[in-house]
Amino acid sequence: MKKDSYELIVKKVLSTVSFKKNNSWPIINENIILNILTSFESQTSESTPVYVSGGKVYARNSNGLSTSYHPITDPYTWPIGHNVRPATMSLGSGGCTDCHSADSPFYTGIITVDSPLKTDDAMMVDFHSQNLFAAQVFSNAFIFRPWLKGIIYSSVFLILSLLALLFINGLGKWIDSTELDES
Amino acid sequence: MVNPRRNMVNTLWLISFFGMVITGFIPLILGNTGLNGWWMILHVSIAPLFSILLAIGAMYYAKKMGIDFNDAHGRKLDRFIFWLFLLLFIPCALSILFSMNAWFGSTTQYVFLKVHFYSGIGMLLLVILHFKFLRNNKG
Repeated sequence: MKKDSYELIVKKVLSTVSFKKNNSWPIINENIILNILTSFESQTSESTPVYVSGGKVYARNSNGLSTSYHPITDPYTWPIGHNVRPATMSLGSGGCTDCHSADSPFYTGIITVDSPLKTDDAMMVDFHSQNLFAAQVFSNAFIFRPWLKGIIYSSVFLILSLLALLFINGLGKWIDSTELDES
Repeated sequence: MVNPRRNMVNTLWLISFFGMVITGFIPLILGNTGLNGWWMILHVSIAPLFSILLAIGAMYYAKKMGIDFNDAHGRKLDRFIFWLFLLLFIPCALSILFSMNAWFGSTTQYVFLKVHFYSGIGMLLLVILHFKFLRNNKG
């Protein structure tokens, strides 16, 4: 299929779709995708036309439109800066609450797929294998974190003191048994 | 002579210890790669109770377990288990306390987690050993 053929098909179909007021992507529905793919298939082509958007591959089948996963739909993971950022911009540089706070984007950030196709937004917590309520309970518990540390450090201090006392007593006992001062 | 306060501390400590074991190891046995969610919340909530009860209990039992190397009533093995358990508590607690700060890099943080994990296993084995010998002694 020639390049200008599919350009014509897409332009023809999209000409009926109006752009959003803020000049963002126009919203196209699955019927429009189906129309375009059907038009492509009516042309001479060696391959199956598909539409890739929002992490899914849309292909035409006997029932209409089917969606499937393909590695090519994975998000782009090589952002500007080649993953290198100043340490001051890294998560955690501002303390635990960079992530562990009730409204932290680390858990509650909304991810919108930048695509003309209408897709559902996702929340960051969906990628963490845990539920939002548990994450927020844990985050709110961070106000007690200094108490937690204080109690455990005190316990460690007490037990270390006992161990030190045992060591000193043991050393004293050993010195007594060897009678070093009498030699 | 029975000391009811010491027995209460001992019982509460044992309950909190098994709480720590269950919330610490069950998620890993179930196939999770680490603690998170409710397991983590429960584990962290029980931890201060466990550690302070251990410290108080250790002070109650220190003399009986021969801290002064005189009048040690307990058996040698009990004393060994008792002091080794307290010794293992130090790396177990400090490793996780240090990892709560931004003092160390990622590699050291992973080492801390390993230390916490293996010293925790060591403490569990010592308690199992203690109960096994206790049962054999009674039997």
